[in-house]
Amino acid sequence: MQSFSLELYPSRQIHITLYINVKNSAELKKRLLSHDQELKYAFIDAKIVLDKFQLLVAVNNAVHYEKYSILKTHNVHSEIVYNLSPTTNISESLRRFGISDSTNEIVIVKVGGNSDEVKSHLNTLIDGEESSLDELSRFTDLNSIRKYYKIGANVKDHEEILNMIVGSIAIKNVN
Amino acid sequence: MIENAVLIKQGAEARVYTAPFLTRTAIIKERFPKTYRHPILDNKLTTRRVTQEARCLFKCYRSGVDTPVLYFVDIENNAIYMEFVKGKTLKDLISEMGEWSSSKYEELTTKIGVALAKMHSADVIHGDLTTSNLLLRESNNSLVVIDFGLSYISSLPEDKAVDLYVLEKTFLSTHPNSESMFTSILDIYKNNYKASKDILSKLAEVRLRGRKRSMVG
Repeated sequence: MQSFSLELYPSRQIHITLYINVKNSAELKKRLLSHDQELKYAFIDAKIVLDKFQLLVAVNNAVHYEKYSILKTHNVHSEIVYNLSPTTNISESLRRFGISDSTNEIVIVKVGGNSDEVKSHLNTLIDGEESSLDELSRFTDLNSIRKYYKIGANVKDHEEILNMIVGSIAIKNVN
Repeated sequence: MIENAVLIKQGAEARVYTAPFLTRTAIIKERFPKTYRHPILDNKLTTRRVTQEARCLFKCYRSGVDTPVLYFVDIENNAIYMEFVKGKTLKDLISEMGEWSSSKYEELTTKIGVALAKMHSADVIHGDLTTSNLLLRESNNSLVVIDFGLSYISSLPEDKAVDLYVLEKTFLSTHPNSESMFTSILDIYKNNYKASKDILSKLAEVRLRGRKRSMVG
């Protein structure tokens, strides 16, 4: 697990981690849909994550909207998942960027809390192994990323793809 | 505003800061209220400018023009967060490179012509094309267009011609003997932009009358 702080909103730490070989995605998804208060986390399909920076930009947006009480979804954690998507269709965004019944690799983001507590709580929640965030690239599915963020085949450079993703997230609520 | 942001420029419209942002270094452009306007009107206009700037910036990037990467648009505080681009302005570069010769400047004029062609193909009018708003990125020597503060979207040849005219004016007024440089930029522009014929004939018109259209008649 890695912890970050947002320059604009330094009061709460942001914790990000990766779980692999997860067996209970279906259960997690069901509990999310029933607004289980124990699951105050953003569960993200690892295949659409190209880089930590992409996550941080979405998190910064979500925390910002929470502060100004302009969240489009129920809470700051679902807002993170929604914000990763370049479109404003909420259910489609959550379906594409959140977890499905068969997701095995999950990126988890937690806003606030103490990293040790978050870590031990996640270990009880998730039936899988925690892995290093540096392993992220192993699970990235560029085809899905290109499709969801509308990035053409002419853009090949990793950094350039990331820049397009980040820009799409940043411009989302401006369009 | 980020606590340890450093003010690097204060203009008539906005303040520009640099600060660490989400593991990177950002430029923050914050537009401030104009006290001579009614507060409600002022806020509305400022917000519109901020969104328009962010849209034009990213539209350009998407069209393949190198620009600073957009990180965050803070509509509530009228600020845009974007990539801090390390590089030299075209203005400084030209004074360093000195006397014009087509071979020495070929690479540079090609980059400028191609970038402008792409930008105008995407119907983005920059609005303030000067040699200070074009940079050469230090890491890969790519030509970066910055400051979309006066940008807007338009498909009119007239608007694109005026955009080019503004650049021509800065070239001629700040860099002596740069007529040929601008001519070669226009050549590249023409070759990389199919619909440029109308724009260039408009440019000839604009040159005769100046940036503003005659309102007589």
